[in-house]
Amino acid sequence: MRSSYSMPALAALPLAMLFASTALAQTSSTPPAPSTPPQANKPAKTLQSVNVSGVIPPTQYGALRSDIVQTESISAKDMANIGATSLIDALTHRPGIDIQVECSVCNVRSITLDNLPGRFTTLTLDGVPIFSPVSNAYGLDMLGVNGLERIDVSRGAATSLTTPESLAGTVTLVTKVPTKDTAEIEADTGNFGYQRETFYLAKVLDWGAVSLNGTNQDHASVDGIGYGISQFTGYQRKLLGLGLFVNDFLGFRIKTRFDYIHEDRGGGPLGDDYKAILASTTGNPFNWSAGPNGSPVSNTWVEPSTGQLVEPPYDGGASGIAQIIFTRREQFVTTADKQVDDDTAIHLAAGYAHHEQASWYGEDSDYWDRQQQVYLDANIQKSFGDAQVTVGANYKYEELGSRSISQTPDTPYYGILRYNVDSYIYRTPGVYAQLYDTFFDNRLELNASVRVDHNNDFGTITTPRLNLLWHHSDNLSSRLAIGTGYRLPTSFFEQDHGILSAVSVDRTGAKPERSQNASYSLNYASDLFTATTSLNYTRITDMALFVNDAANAFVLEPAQHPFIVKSADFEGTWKATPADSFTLGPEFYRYDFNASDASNAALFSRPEYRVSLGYDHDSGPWDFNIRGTFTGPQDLSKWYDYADNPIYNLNGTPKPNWSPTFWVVDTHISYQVNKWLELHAGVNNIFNYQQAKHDSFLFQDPYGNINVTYIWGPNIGRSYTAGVKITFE
Amino acid sequence: MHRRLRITDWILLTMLALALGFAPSRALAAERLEFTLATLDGHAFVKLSDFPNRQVLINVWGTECPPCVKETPLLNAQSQIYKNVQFLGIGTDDRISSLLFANRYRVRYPQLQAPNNPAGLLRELGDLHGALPFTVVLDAQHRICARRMGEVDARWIATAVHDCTAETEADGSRGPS
Repeated sequence: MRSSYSMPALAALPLAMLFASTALAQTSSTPPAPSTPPQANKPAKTLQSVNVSGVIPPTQYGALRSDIVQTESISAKDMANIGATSLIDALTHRPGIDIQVECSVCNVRSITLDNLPGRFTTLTLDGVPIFSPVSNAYGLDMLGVNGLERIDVSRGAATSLTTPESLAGTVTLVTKVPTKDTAEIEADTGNFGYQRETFYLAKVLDWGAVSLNGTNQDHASVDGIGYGISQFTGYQRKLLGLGLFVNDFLGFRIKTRFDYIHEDRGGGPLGDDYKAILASTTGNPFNWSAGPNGSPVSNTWVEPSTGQLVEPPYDGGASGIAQIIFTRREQFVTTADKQVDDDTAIHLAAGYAHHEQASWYGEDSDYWDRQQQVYLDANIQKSFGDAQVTVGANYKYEELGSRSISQTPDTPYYGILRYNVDSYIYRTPGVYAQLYDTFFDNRLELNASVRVDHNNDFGTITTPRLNLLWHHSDNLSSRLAIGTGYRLPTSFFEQDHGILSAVSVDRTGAKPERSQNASYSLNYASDLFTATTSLNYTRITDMALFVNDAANAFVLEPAQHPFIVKSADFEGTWKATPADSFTLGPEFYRYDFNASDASNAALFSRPEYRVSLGYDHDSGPWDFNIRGTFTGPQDLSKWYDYADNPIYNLNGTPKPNWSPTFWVVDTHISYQVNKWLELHAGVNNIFNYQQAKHDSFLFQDPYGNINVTYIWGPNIGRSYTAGVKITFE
Repeated sequence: MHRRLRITDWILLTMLALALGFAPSRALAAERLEFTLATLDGHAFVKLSDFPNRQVLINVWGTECPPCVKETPLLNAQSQIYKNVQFLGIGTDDRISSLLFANRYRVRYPQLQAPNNPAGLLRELGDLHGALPFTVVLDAQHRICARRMGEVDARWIATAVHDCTAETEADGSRGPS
């Protein structure tokens, strides 16, 4: 494993800027002017300490000044209203945003924006991108919402200046800056062994503030149909976060957070005695005949090509189908902002993440990885009247090293420890410039930017962007975003665990994946009705695909044809009475790609439409909401290329070509007993809809080899939670 | 497939028509303001027109905003001094947090919920950047005649109310009751 690296000349630029900007800050800082009373009809020109707090609407004047231009924002209370405990929970039932479960046994999950593959969504902490496909694979579940002020979503490649890899968009977790002494304790329990305890402590000091938060969360593995095989992966999760906020250090306002994440999860066999599961290597603890289209016998299944039972019967023990993943992660993010004078501001940011995974993928492979990521960013914003120019540089370092042992007997490296099958090191310094200006008496806002990155493997890549925001009236605005992005292909979780058993992974033909994105939205915001309609077009070229060649080597190569996703969505909320609000959110998609790439395009298995409905009743101490999403059918035969690669249920019958339509409905209620005590409860998946009750949750190929099936529906049934939250301020 | 394309085209055409069809924004402070917002307890709607021929002071605030917290006792006291001015608060945070805040400070004037997307209302009030606290004083015709971004003090309120009263009288309108 290569662990050392050299810093290219370009990478030194942000550091030089950092020191230069600090020097500048020390010499040109000016104290705020005193306040004066305004004249009638003239707004006060001099501002006292002013907060821009809570959720900032994406159509707010000045929204395009940011490095990352948000299109949606979810407040802490929005999250609490739906009982969200993780980032994944917070993003459900929202048009244009979805959560895709990629594996029925290990429950890899990703955030899809505009129904593009999850790996094209970039996650940032306070604007600092220190996540990767490896860390996101299981890490998304581990991102708690405790201690967050809000989550900003930016759909489209054109929305981010500092994260060019966000081909589908960016999700930003914004850390809450304490403004008052606070102590919060929350405890929840539910069925399926669910329990969660959290705390959040904040202390405001003369020089700033500190915060500490922690979460302990457990969930049992769940089998809804009697296989003895989990549909929903069990986990034991511990999170600890420390925030440090300094009001004035050399004129900088500093925001720092450190997080420690520790999670053990296991799918396949039920239970959390992972040692015992791994030690069980013979026998059949499962019931292969359970559920729809199950095998006629419990200890083996029907081979489709012969119609006979597969012989010998399953004898792999509990470990044969287990997927057990232990994760440890430390991450550190800091940002520093300084208003040098009326026209000049400086922004500095740094992030570091250390991520370790130890995992056992049944009869596939054992895998251990260690990933490090470093991010540095520095920019200067200079105003010229209403115009603002931002010039900056950043440096991104990403390293993955691994050990793996193939557990697939028919592979050449079966049982042999190998190093760095999927490793890579990316060093990517970049420079960027952004112009913001307003026209027509501030009615038109423009944000035009370009960045140039240089990667050690893929060379120089230039990506321009343009954002326009037109305020037709106080209530109506239009946004247009056109932009490009690029993403460096990594390797492991993006496509297939199977590469760990391959003879080799050939990356020589890989290219950066690129996107061209255009989106338009029309936003209406009045007192009682708000609505946003969006049209999005995304074209992905050189999409990275794995092809398993004749020599059992995995070749990472670009798709031969572009992949195109078009979407239209609407979200409207009407406050019908002082206490009652209704939300409607339909979304429609169309996917275009060439059939020759289709067999590798399962990533694009998405429904062609969804409709979300919501009702909120908020009155006195009560907050109640119910939200549902109706998901349209998916053409599974098209996505998986069933015609050429048929797959079957365990009784030997073909899998259906179309997934059925279904509803998922969740509800949550809270009651504020007094100023410090809140009680809450929730029911998720009220109708108890489960994919496993309609479709065999595993599949087999024509020769009787089983694998995890494509997840098109809920993988856990009706669940109940109830809890208490105590707040002292 | 063809039908879906047509639906998308219709949506696009409709949006473009809407976008092109709307006139530019009216000038701020030139027209009578009107809004309808729910009270923090969720029990009633309050319209600005519920206070006809009466000056109104509107204070937009957030619980996590220190200057908002600091100015709340002052606004509370001033609301009892200027009996001829209707004070209204608009909380921008979640309803329960805002309600607890208002109860904690025993605020004695009506407190309202900001709209789901407050951008439109804030622009109407003249708070283009969404900065808090933000205070406006309306004359008896409910036209903005003074506004302030940042914490208010008694002097500013006195000046703003006085100037708004004078403006109303200069317009020949009925003065504050």
